[in-house]
Amino acid sequence: MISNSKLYSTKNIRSANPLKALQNERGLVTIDFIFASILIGGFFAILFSIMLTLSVVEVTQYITYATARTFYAGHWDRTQQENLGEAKFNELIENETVSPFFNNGWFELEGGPGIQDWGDVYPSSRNASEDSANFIGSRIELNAKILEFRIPLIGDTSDLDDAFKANVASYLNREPTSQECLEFLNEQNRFEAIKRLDGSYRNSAIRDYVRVADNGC
Amino acid sequence: MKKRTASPLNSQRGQMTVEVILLAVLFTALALLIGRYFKDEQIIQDAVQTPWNNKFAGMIENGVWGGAEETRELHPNLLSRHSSLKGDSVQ
Repeated sequence: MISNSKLYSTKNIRSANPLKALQNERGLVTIDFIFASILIGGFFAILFSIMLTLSVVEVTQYITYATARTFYAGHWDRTQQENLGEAKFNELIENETVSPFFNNGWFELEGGPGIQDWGDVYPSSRNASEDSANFIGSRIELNAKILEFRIPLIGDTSDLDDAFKANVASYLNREPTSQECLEFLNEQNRFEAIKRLDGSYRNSAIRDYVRVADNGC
Repeated sequence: MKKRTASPLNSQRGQMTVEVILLAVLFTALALLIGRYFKDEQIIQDAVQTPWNNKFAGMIENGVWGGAEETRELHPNLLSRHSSLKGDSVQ
């Protein structure tokens, strides 16, 4: 039996009967095969990139959550709360398991840990009480570069640059700092706060008075 | 009787070559036609960019299927609730 490499070698083709060579129908559907391969490969690439993007969205969601949670806890002042949140963010994106996603050009995290009050971004026109609408936390822009590619013959996935961006956020609020607590509880502010209390508190039945030395700050 | 000479036009040689070339042209044209249809109808963009803009972005940002901008006012943190940052009075 002749192996394929011998059958199609240049030497054999030259020495073979030209009529037989022309009658050889092998390779007739090569173009169709190539086109079908491009189609299948293209759709496989689309499904793979979407799957990976949605997985990385969840990873990014966790990063924002962990950052917001670390920022949330009380500290001496707000700067120190932010520093802790930023340290957590850096720790996670430099993690050896997670960092390859963001260092190989497939995904980009823009805007750093994004720790602040994001209330201005959201409309307050809905029936919600503005006071209860909390948008303090971490918000990071995820750019899914992996979804931007061109499949030969059949086109691009997007006609814009950076078309696949989304803001991933976790808003957990922030505990008061010791400084804010002390400021709130100083004598003048406390008195003013008591005076501003709703009148309904006058009806509260206070039977016992217990002095608490620790003011919680 | 006069011997009939073989005419080159009667030769069957090359018939298969012509057919193979025609088929190759046909298949190439078909592939290009389908490729152009995909491009004109933006089928690949509809499979990736359109759902991202109209569905995924809103769910990722605001937890609601839709565009990121349109669903912003539906963010769950805007739901009315008693929890307050400033100490609302009990209703």
